[in-house]
Amino acid sequence: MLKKEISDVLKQTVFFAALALVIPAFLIITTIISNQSYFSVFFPLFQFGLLSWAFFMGASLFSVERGQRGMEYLLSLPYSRYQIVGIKILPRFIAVVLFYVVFLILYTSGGEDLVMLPFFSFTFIYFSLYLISLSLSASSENFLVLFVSSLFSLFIYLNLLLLIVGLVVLTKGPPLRFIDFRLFFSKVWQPELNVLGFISVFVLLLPLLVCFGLSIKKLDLRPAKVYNKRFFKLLAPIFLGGFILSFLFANWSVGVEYSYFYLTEDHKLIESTPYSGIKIYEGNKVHKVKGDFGFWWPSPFHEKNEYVYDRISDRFSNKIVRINMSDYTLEVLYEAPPEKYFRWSIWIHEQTFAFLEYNRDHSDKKFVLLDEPSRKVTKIPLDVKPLKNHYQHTIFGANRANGQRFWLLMTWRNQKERHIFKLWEDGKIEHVGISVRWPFYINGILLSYSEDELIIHQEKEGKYVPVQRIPNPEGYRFGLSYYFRTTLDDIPIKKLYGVKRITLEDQRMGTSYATLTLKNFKIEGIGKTQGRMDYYYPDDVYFIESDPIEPEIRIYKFMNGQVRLFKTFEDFDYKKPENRSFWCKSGIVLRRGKKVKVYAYPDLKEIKFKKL
Amino acid sequence: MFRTDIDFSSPLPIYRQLIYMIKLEILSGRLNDGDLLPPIRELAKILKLNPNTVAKAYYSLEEEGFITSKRGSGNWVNYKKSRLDSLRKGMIEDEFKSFLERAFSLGANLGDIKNLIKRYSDND
Amino acid sequence: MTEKIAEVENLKVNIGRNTVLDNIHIQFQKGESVVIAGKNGAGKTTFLKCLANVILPDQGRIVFSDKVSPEKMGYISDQLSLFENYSVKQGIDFHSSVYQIQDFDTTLINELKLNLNQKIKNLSAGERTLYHLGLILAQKPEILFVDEIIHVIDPYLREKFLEAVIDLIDRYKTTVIMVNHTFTEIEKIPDRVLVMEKGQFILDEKTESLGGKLKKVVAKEEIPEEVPCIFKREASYLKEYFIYPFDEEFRKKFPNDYKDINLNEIIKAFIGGQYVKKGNQ
Repeated sequence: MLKKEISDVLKQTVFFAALALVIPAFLIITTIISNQSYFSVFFPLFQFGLLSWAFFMGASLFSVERGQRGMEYLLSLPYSRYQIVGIKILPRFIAVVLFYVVFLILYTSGGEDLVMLPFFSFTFIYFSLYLISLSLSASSENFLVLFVSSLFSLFIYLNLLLLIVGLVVLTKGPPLRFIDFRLFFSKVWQPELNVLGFISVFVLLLPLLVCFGLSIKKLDLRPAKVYNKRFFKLLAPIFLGGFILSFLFANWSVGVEYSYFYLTEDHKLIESTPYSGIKIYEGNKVHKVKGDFGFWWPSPFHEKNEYVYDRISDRFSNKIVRINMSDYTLEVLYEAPPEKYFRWSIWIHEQTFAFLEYNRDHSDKKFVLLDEPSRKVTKIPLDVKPLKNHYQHTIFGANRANGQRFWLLMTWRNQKERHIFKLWEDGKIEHVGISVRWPFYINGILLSYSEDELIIHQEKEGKYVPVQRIPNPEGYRFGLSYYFRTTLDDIPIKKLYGVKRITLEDQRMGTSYATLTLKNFKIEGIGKTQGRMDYYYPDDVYFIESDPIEPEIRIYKFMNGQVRLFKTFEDFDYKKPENRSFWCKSGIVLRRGKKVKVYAYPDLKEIKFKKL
Repeated sequence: MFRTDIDFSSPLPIYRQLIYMIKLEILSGRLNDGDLLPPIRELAKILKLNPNTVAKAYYSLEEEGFITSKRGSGNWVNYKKSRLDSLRKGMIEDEFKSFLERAFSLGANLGDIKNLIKRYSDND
Repeated sequence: MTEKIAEVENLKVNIGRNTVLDNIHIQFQKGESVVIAGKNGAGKTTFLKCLANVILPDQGRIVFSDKVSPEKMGYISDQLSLFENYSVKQGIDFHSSVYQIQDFDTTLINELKLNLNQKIKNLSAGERTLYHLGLILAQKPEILFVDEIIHVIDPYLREKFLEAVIDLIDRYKTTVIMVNHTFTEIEKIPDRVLVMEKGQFILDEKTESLGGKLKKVVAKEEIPEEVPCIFKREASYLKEYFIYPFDEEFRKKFPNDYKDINLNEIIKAFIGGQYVKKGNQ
């Protein structure tokens, strides 16, 4: 009998396969005539064709016999009902899988962008439609009835999945009113990471298959509804059981969402919870930020007046946003075009943001200027001489000269060459010089390095001229700009801190630091110290050390010429995934699971937020 | 061969009727001593009888001494002449009894019957 | 032979809200030829379908003797259900493989002079019936279930069908269970008669003894109460009474001419009696 079923399936499949060949053949012909690619039209249609074919494969389990007046003969054969159904399902299921493989092949060879249904949605609707229509196949001879019932069951099934998401969300913590359902939905069923989530989807179909199994036991010439009523006492607990199991799998597949924090200069706390949005704590109050945005780890690059400026970057887009901390709204200032990225280092000069934008493979680099008030965007291409074959472009300064504004750009050519360029806003690119280490620009002074010297430059007639050479035998590098709490032109800086190039030995023994007094350009070593440097403006510096053995964090401060232990945070094991420390310009936020403590510079006293 | 219908409404079991039919064939001379009887299966098919019925009839006939059955080769007519004579006598007497019963139910009397016999025997 | 071949225990089948088979308990012996009669809707076809495993009981079960395997059971009904799109040859091959038939005896099929490549759906009803029977014969079945098939086919093929069944009975000692409305032509084959009414058997007798148990009386007067009459028919001054079960004593109690009747009339009387009962309710 297996031979018969295989030949039946082949006949049913051949029809679909022929269709699947005829249509593209037709499209190829029209392509040749009209010169457009056929695949983009064919592939989405193929997706839907596959869905209807999956339905057909399931629903047509008995259609051959029913159409041939052969049902009675089939049932009188010396096989048990389970054997009959098993032999029937086997080749059909293999056919369903094979066609899915065909889909996979087409998808991965260029169909990715053309699908009408996203990949994972398609996969589970395809297989669940097959399983649903299979489960209903014994109950009716009428294809239309089967089709409607299948769609209706699919609808109920998808709603049950949605209900499961809601329940999972409830158990994970964030109150329902803050939930972004769509994002959470995809979080539960992101099968790239989430086998359990995927399992939960099919577990929910199990009760349907169990009912199918039970109805097969009673399969005969009488209409099947007779059996369904009878099994109701069994059905209800089976469906309940399936729902609970599916919920458990989905629940296990989603980790608890922990928040990410940031403390602003005026001691407001920003909390960002994946898929639940952003909250701002202020004293005794908490406010929710309105707006639609993806996952955001707050690390603002700029704070000014009532605004906090940051980048939000997810799978779909890269944006520069600003949050208004008085009316709690979020505004997108700039969104990169699709498939374009910009470097995290954004330089601010007056009211202009400057950054670099490029493709995924770093080609097509552009220098982008965003004027905040007008939102005007200027883009200057950088893949030109003399910047060809330069890498790791970073903007590190800006100034005005002769009525025009220029920006300072550093690039990496090789191990020993950091090149400095001036980028004029009219598009002109000027080579300024070469430095052995990353250069620094402050108050109109350019610092560059040779092997053992720190060279101070000043601008004279449009050129940078070395005015002083400071011996720097230890090879300290000063002015790592991302440690600064604010833009350099706001408040005068007296000291720069520098770090020696870190070797493996240094990491074990401690890293060497030095100060550079800007008044007289004197370099003074601080000595080796544990922990890594974390600036605090204006002139204090803190070092942070996490202990790999003892679960605690130690903060050291450089004061009175010495680095001393300043504060210890006990009972903090950074290795636990629910624990996280946030090093902000204005303070430190320590998260232990759901408990959060906030400490502000300069004395790292705890700030309490009532609603936290 | 013979195609006499078996009377299903008769109180006589079918196999008994079959026995009677075969005895008639033998008495009438259509079946002679040494003739081969149709195989059970064939006779059953022709008469649309259950083969068990035919088998029963043959078995009975063998018991009564009219046929012999040899495994593998079939059933043969095989009787002693004396046996046949007594059968003939018995059957004629049965027929006569039936006739008398039927005649009396029509209202005839012994005298009518005697006259009938005389008339027919004179004419021959 | 009194070897049991099948036992039906507490069989109950519902179709919709109706109880079609109601707690049936019956046994069948090896080699028996049984006919099941009854009026339409009595449950005969459902019962046979249960025996053939086409319909599954809602309660109770059917137990076959260990010596009979499912490959040795044949079933044919007036639905003439087969895989129609198969050719004659394909049908033979399929049936052989399913029933594990080693050498397919094509005698009956050859007699029909069928073209092996003809599709089954293009055969006439008669050809199809005998073709299906031919498939079953090749199984050398130990049990055969036949449902109302006699009148689907022409009288010539009918005879061929009966001859084939007789052949089966003789060759393989097949137990034959037939559902049939009427008995002309087949009345001499069954050795047991069952009459079904409302999902129950109301008559279960050997055909041999039926003649003695069921008689007809034609009389002018009314029949006394103590004489069990299952059916009565009146036509002006004559009344026909069907008596079951008959006892010799009745000849004294109700002296009249007791006639023997054939199977057809017996069944008619039973069925008629049920209609009368229904009317009186």
